[in-house]
Amino acid sequence: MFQDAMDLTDTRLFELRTRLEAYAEARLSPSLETSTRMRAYVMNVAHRRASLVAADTTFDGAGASIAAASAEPSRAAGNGRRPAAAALLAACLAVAMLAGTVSATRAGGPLYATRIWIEMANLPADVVARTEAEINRLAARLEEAQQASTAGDGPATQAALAAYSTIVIEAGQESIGDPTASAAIEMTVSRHVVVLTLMAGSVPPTARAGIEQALSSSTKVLDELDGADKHDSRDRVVDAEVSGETGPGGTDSARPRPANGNSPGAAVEDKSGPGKDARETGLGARDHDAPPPGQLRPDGAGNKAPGDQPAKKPIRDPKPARPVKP
Amino acid sequence: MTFDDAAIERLVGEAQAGDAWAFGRLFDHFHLPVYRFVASRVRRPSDAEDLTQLVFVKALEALPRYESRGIPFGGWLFRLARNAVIDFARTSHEHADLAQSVDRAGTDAGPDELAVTRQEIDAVGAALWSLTDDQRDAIALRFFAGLSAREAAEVMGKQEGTVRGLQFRAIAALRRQLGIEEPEASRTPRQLERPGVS
Repeated sequence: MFQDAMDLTDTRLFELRTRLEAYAEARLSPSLETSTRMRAYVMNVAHRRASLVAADTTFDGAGASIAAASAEPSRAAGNGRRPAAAALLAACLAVAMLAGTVSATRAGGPLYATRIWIEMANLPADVVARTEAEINRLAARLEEAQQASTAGDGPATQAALAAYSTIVIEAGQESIGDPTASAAIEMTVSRHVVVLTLMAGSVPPTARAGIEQALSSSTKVLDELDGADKHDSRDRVVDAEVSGETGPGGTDSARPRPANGNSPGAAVEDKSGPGKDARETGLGARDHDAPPPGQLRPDGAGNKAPGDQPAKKPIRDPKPARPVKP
Repeated sequence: MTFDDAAIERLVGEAQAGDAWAFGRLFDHFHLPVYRFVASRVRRPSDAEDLTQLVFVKALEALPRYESRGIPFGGWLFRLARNAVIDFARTSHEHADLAQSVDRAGTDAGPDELAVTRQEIDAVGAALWSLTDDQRDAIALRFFAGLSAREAAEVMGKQEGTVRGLQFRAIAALRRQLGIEEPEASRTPRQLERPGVS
């Protein structure tokens, strides 16, 4: 292309050419940052398109084979060997399609977003079960991001981290209002933030935005949960003061605690607690018989203030104690 | 990084088959001339960046339909770039961002030298903007993008002779604007016969 460019040896153009080159160098050349930015953007689109092309090839191949297989029985009517071959071909096709689908639903694949949506649509309605499922989804996305990052697959890492960001925001918002769910999400996300921070130094350049977004979303969720927690604490203190049940723990005592009296984080380490999954998520440590925050059990059992301290007696006694008859 | 035409066609074929790496090589090869061509037609560097990205994304989308029927990939790409610039000029109301463009002339030269350099560069910019659109296209495609007259003609959808004419008139206008004297060899015989006439 450049061989037949304007005659560079033409001495009559020398001065003009020099000035135009200086102009092009000064005003028409992208900076390194600009070139890098443009390349990153274009390559992101190129990788996405490459994934689509790969998926199309897989499905086109499968479609062609299906057409061939469907045409086979009519020709095979008078031949005893054909049906067996057709069955074998159909089995191979089924495997190929399954492999194609699995490949397409991987992080960065064309069906990945569909898979995430299906997961979300199948979440249970119960808050605690839903939170547990969301925690599992978060862990799965994080693992996908780690695997893709290790393999140097930027688009896949980016896709997994983007999905993580969406899920963590959803999970955080859904858990607000339920102390146990909030505590479990808070604990999980705090752990994930550490992992994401470690990953930030090694992710492919195309996934940097993704990891920043994931960290930002996680931090936002933690802040929101912290804010909601403090708000909840204040409400509980007010409630407790009204009912004369303020414990020695102060505002911190209003935080939800598992039945064994430990902090929510301790529930993870507690080997004597419920099953493994429950320990990991912190959900199994919930006292299902416990009354809602700020309320007391009607039978009086377990109405201790948090921290295993005996509750204070009411400040005002409505009736003076009557003398006991002998 | 330079490729011959065969290497470019091979990379184009691989990119058409969905090879992102091959398209990355094509981007590396063509992004500077495309950016220069676009930047010579818009005033803001940010617009040049956006349009260059757009050109390559459009190229990516249109790549499956690209067939090398005598038109090399570079010519096809610059045609996309020219169409993108024309669309942009139609739909946007550009304002000269002189402060931004002047700041880009930073070099290691001293203040006086820098001022002179800036003046010269500004003068070239002003002279280019005084050309007609077609003349500016011809200069940008030939000088800044490095296309041949035939390739520039294909990009502009004109005859090669027409492009040479546009280029000739553009060069004359630039010389006049920049005060560059026409060399002896290019003067007409009548001028050479009358050296005393200024």
